[in-house]
Amino acid sequence: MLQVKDLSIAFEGKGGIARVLDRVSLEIAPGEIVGLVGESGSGKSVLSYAISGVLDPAAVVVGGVIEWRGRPAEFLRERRVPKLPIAQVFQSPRTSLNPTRTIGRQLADVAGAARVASLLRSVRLAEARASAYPAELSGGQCQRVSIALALGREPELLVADEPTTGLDVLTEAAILDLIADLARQRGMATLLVTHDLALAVARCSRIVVMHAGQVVESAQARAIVSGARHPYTAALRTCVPQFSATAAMLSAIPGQLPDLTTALPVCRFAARCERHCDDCDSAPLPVVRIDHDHLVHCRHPLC
Amino acid sequence: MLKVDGLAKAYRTGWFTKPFVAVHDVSFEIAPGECLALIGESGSGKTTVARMISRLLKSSAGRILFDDEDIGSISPRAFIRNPARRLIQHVFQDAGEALTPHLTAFDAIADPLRRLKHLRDPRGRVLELAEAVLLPADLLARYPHQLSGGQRARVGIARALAPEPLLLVLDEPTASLDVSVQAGILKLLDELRMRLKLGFLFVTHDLEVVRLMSSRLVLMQEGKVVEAGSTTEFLCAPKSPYGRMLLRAAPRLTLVSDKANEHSEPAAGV
Repeated sequence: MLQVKDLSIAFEGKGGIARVLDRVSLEIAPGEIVGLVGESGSGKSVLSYAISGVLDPAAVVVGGVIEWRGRPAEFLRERRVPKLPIAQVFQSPRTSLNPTRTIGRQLADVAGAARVASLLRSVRLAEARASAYPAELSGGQCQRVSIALALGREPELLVADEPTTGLDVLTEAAILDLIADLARQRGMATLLVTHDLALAVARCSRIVVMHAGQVVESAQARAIVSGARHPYTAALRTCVPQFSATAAMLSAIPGQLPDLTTALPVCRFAARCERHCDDCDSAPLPVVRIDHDHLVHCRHPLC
Repeated sequence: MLKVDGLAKAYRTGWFTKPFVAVHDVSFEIAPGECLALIGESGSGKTTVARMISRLLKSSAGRILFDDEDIGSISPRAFIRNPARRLIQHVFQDAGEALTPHLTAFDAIADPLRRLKHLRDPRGRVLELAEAVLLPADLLARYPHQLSGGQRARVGIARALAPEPLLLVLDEPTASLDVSVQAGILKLLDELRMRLKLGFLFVTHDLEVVRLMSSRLVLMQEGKVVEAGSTTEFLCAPKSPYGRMLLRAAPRLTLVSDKANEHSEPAAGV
């Protein structure tokens, strides 16, 4: 349904040109929940903005296309299209709500007055809150309203950027259950952007791992748990509490994300990688197909 | 070392209205070298309890016995001059906001040494502390805004360790950090606790962090304790309905049991 092909995006700024996305490819089928995982600064959010058609005007698309049902998805930038098939939940919930209208009115705008109560209930908010203005709600409550707004439009594709970060576990579970139900019942596709690998594994069918603007591995969620092949995915696993038995077993990923404004090696993980060799810096990066939908962008994948 | 008994906090809401009870009858104990986790959802009163124990906030009722002295009756203003103030240190959630913006990392760590330990030349001790929290010494000259989130968290911990405390009150110390950075900080805290025999009151809402860091826990809901006991027992078989609900809502725990049994299959589609 949605295909991102070799998308490269750069930002030009005072410090030089930052190549924030480097030949990123991604596919989402109807009814599928795809997790996009990586550290802060890996380009997850820029990719989700590009897909939602709300890229910063300063961003330059250097190459690649986003296709929606086989057509270039340029129309997603046309803000006048009355009913876009795509809805998004942003990281900063308060700024995505209209401060001058009650949340009940905003929900009624997109879904009709009859559905306001059920939408509020579905995100664990009391119906009485419909008369509240965004400023009267906590950050977590605003987040839930923006999720209700997105889902109330009955989109074909939901792009959710860290939708449950900062919410307590009970609300998080309720919202992710709701997204899973909509995926099953109505075939809504979801791109779930998160830094939480364990959450992605539990909730997504497929996971795409990004590092410094590159996709490093994409596979079924279970394959990421049992057989991650990219050294970065493996390193990311060791720092997730869920995958380690004691605190002493935790380990942080060595090094830092490279500065994207400098000349970068072909594999941007090379400087942090134990398996790195000279070819990693200059020779074209091979894409190793482990399985029909398990791809690893690495010269020396783990076995 | 620390014994909290019937701790409560009420806020006055108006002249004629009933006070709002934020924390009601909370009791627990922490031994040297032990980590007690204080958990619950947002608004459950965890932070209020933590702040009362480090005497940043006045308590309304109850006793806080620290080495047999009731510090709960000392007002936060008077506590500044109390010898126990050096021994209880608070680590804040967002290290970026908790550090003074015009002090370099060096001065942020040296400040409690000068004030509480009355050291004239704290340089050697600052370097020792930076080393203990794995903060490269060349970063000490930087201001908070020039440090990454993880580095700021390390400065916050070094600063808390500076006066050689016995108890650290950690209020969601890793909540604003990336997972890979969180891993390093959790590991560091766990090592420090064992090496220095520190008592921890660890406030968090993350059950996975609770499992890794603590041996006992207190679960709060709407200002009240709903469950207290061993962490392992809670994670295997919570006694309260609320505890069961929380555990069920965190499906990621099923992955751990899978991993522990060395299964390669995850709990698919949870």
